[in-house]
Amino acid sequence: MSDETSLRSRREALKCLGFGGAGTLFVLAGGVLTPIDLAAASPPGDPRLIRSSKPLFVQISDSHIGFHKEANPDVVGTLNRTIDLVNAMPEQPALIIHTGDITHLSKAEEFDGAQQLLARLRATELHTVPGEHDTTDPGAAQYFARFGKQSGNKGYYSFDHEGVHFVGLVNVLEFKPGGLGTLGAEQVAWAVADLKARTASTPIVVFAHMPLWTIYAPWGWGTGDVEPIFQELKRFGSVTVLNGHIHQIVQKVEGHITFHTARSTAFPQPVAGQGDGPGPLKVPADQLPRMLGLTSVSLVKHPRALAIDDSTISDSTIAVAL
Amino acid sequence: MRQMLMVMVCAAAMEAEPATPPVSTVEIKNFHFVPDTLKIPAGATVTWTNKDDDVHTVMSASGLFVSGALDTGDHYSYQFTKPGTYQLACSLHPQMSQTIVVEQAVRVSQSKVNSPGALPAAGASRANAHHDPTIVPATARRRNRVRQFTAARENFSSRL
Repeated sequence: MSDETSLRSRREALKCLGFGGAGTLFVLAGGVLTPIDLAAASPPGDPRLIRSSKPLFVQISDSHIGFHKEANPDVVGTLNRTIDLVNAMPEQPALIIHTGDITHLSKAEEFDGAQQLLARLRATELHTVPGEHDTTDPGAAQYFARFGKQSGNKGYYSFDHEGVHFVGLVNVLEFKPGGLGTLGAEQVAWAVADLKARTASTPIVVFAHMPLWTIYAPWGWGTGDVEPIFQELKRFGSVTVLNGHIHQIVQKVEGHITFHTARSTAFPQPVAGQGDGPGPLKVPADQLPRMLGLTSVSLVKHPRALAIDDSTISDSTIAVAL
Repeated sequence: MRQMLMVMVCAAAMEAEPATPPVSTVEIKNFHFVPDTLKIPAGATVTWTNKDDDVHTVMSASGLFVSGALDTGDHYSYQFTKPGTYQLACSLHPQMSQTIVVEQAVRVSQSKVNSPGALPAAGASRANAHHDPTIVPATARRRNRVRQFTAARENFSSRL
């Protein structure tokens, strides 16, 4: 009897956690990153999901629409759950940034399916950069046909929103075997010039698919020719550098620059150097939702501070404690 | 007499330059090209098969060719007609690399042309495999040595 009650409670708790957003909130103020523990389980609509600040934007990454292997046979379902999580936010972010690998094989039908899913987002403005999985067709034609307009088919571009300057970079198109992601001289020169035109007090968000900082070179987790851009970023008071690609959260702070990698909405990947390579990591089905999710970034102290908040489509801390 | 001369020329070439077995299949497994270095005769076709759960591509560093996305079980073939050293990689995982060394076309089974009596039926069958147009391309057949080889083999066939 008591066991049955316990099981039911557990089920209820897990159900409650289904779309619970929890994790660690990082408040970035004047370059100092302070972690704040979040409330554990937040049901849909719970104001604690977003806390006190308005979300500036939400980052979604690595949806891999078209993937159907054991690591996640239902990538449509997990992207849908991620979208539900965003749509349940009491205050909607104005922007969604997808940091690439929208599709798995760059197929037209995969892009079409992904666009139909992303159209469910209540937020109206979607910004993207391509991942290497989005650009395997000749000329990356499928990606650019859908997402190339904003950048004049270059893939990289910048824009401003609520006093924050956003720079989207592409590090998957120029190819160097045996190396890291590459931006190319033209893009590096463009980004440096773009940043030079901003005042040092402007909060900067730089986003790309592959890490812009070297996390693990043997697996190509880095960008080889990014240094001139970081030289230029050093003078800014608040810089947030976001990427996807590695399907897990890794972060660091260097001076006023916060580096943060996002989870995938599709499947996790191994920690750097563990196993043969960065392929899909198979985990028990009940663990998968705890390894997928999104990143929301909020303005907590306009105009100098951004907060980074990771949410999973389930919750790890509480589920483990049960 | 002319045909006999060609056979001798061909045999001499064989002795001077030991042939490499025409390995032409590559597995992409555990984020590696297996083998990671491959020697093939000019004109050989290499077929890569993806055995990983993840997607890979086969891409020439010089931009000569790129396979497009290879999902699990997919394969891609490319015919190397010109001798030289080719650096290849996977454009999704630039840490993966492969070197293909393409040598002047010389066939292992050519040496058997000089001793047709010792050639078993199975050997003839192997030799016929070299008539496969996917392995011996028209461009390579234009090369003198290959033309000599073909003439020699035709001569051999007519004597059977």
